[in-house]
Amino acid sequence: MEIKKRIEYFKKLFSDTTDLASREIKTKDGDTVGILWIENVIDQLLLTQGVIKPLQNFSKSGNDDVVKQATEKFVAFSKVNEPKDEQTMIENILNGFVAILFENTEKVLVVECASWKVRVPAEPPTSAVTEGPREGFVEDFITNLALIRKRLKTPNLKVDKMKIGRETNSQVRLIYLKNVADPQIVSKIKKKLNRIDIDGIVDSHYLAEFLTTSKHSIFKQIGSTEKPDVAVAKILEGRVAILVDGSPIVLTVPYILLEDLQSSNDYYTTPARATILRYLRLTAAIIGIMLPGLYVALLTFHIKAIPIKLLITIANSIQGIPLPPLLEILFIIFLFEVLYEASLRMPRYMGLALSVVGALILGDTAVKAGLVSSPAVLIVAITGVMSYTLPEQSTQISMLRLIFTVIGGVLGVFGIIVGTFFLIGYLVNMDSYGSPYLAPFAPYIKSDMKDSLKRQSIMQMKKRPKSIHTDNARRQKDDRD
Amino acid sequence: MTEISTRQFIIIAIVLLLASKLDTMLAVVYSVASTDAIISIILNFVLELLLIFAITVVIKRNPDTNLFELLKKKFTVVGAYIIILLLGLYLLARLVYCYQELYSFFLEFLYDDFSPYIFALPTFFVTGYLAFKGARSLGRTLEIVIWFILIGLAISVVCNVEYMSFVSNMPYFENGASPMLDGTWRSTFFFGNSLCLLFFVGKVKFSDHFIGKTVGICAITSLITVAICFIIYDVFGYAMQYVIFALSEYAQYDPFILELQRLTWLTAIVDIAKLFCATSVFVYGLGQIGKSVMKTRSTLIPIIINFLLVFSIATIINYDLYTLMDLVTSVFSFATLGLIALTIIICIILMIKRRQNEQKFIQ
Repeated sequence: MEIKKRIEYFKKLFSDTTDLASREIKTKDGDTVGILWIENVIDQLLLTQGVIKPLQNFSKSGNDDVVKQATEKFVAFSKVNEPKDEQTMIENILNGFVAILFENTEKVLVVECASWKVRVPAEPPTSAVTEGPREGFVEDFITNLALIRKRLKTPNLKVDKMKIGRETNSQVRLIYLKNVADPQIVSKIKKKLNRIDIDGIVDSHYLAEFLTTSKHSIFKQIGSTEKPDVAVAKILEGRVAILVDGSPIVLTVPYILLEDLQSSNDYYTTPARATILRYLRLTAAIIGIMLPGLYVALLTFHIKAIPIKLLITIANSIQGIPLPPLLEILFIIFLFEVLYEASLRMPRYMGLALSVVGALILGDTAVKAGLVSSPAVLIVAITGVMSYTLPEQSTQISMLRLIFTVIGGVLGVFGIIVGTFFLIGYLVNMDSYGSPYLAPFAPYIKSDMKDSLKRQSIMQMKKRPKSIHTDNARRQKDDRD
Repeated sequence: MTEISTRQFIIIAIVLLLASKLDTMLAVVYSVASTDAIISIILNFVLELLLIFAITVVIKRNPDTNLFELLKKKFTVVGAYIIILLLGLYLLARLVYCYQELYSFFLEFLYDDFSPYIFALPTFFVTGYLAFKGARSLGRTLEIVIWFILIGLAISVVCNVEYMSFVSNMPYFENGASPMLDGTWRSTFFFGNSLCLLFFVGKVKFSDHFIGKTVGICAITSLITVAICFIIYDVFGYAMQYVIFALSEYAQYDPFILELQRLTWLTAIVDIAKLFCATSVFVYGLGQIGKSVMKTRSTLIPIIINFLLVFSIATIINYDLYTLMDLVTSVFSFATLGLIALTIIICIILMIKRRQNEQKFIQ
């Protein structure tokens, strides 16, 4: 087939898309060579200097295979190959390769010239640290893989390749330490991923939903991080990291609740300080969940339990408020959540205006107008702030806060106790790839308590967490060995 | 299949040991034994420890079977059904009492008016959920809740120790040994909680010194509980027989604390947590019995039937705790004493039979 006709044929395969560029080149021998590539995903300079120019100077010698001779011309490229079928060739072109078509042969040569627009690794906004590495993952999975490799220079680091999404053909990588990660967990994850049949995945969170075990739970079941140091620490503990092309969020499996109570900052400070911070986070999270519910319960059912001075203050504030405590708190929570959602989506230059509207108009004016009381605003504001001490759990905390507020308002302290019992009972039943969700507290795992609420010195953490199934428990040489 | 660790098993035993002991039981024993009440309590604790020891030995020696299978093997199907039903009757009575205690507690301390229906639904739902999810779920939940109970209990007790006077419990044996003996057998109902441990046969993953650890920790818990009972008796003196919810009213006794009003809340929460945990274990036991008797796969239907029974009984007695307390000091305690004795004998038979089998195997 003529080169022109073959180019037309491939263009048809690409639905006549306008960003599939092509060109015909005359070689030194006078033969015609066709090249095909996707505009904007390749390096133009590399294309002209590395592909077009050598092809113009190319001349056949003897009766040897023309494709083989051309391959030798492109020896400077890291990836040059002959795709085994049409589908592979299409995939290569979509991934930033230039396809070269020769006369009198059906064979094709592909040369990688990809140049994707990549963001420079920067500190992720959600995981800032005062001390410690500031690099964050980006949207390019090759860069992300390099950031992990940079920290794990071992032949035991295994990277398994997968492709998910019929239309997006998203590259997915499973990363784990071959000598540490439990093969059963790895194969279970692979099985789940292989079973996915979807048109496309836009972000790693799509995969997270496929990997969860309790589909209707409001609780997070898959770990996620934007920081390579955190991902590496989790891989070292025996977890499996999942990278998705186009997402700066790396997933980690198995996941336990304690993970979000720990921050990477904890390991870059003294154990005592880290311990205090962890207790602080836990206390803040509990207050964040319970306080509005308790406030409503006390005001509605158990007013005698409030200390007299505080009761007088509250009574003065709630005088003339048209709403009962439950509706009042729910109304403020609703306003708070609306402001939060709006602030996330509003253009940044509008942020200041929104703060003014939120703090002054909605807060102060509503209190002055007698629509809501100042203790109620204060309680919702405090709990709102407290829920962000665990940023990765903030959505769960705000949902639980709402649930406990309603229970407290309907049943009083009895409801809060019953709710707490149910919450604990529910959480102890959850399991993430064999790891109990509330480990190491329930079931109690003594050795894992070294890095739970209390953080001991890294020197004392000689073994990997038992709550994560691993093939190799030892991290450090024991003095007794 | 092992479902709970030794630690979880011990925590369940502690919760069962504490359940009801610091509430209505103190008034019940004092009304019968007067100043000898503490001795009656000590004797009953000895009996309960003996029961715990016998049960742990049976659990240790039969790691691969459940209670019903074990009883069927040793006492035939009919014998097994009789024993299981007797246990079921006790647990049902205990569940009704616990449920009533919890409801009366809410009415006394937390609410001016509280509909039994509003109380029943969430209580049944949560305790039923824990029991339905099985021993593993129960063990893990209690592993967390126990800390709230123990810390709350310690704070509640320590804050009022200064009000105790060692003379208000004296003199002992003023009217001979009969009040003490009367107090002992009329309060045995409260000391049969550990019968529930039988339902964990074949479900415990043993650690080293399983029996020693369990009995030892239970003995320490019993000693501490006796000490708390002693303090409470000393604080209230002769007024004790009118104090229904001893621990919570004990917290109210302190004028300083009463002004603060916070400690009463702490003890109230401790009491509720304690009773909730114990109720869940009783429901679990009843669920297991229902599963064996009705031959169902899941415990859901037996649990629902038990709740309906409990609710009906509570409605029949008109949610009156005093009616139940009267029953406890008469029929229930006699029956419990008999059941405990029977259980200990059964455990001994199981041990002897096992030993004979082992000897046969060696020969």
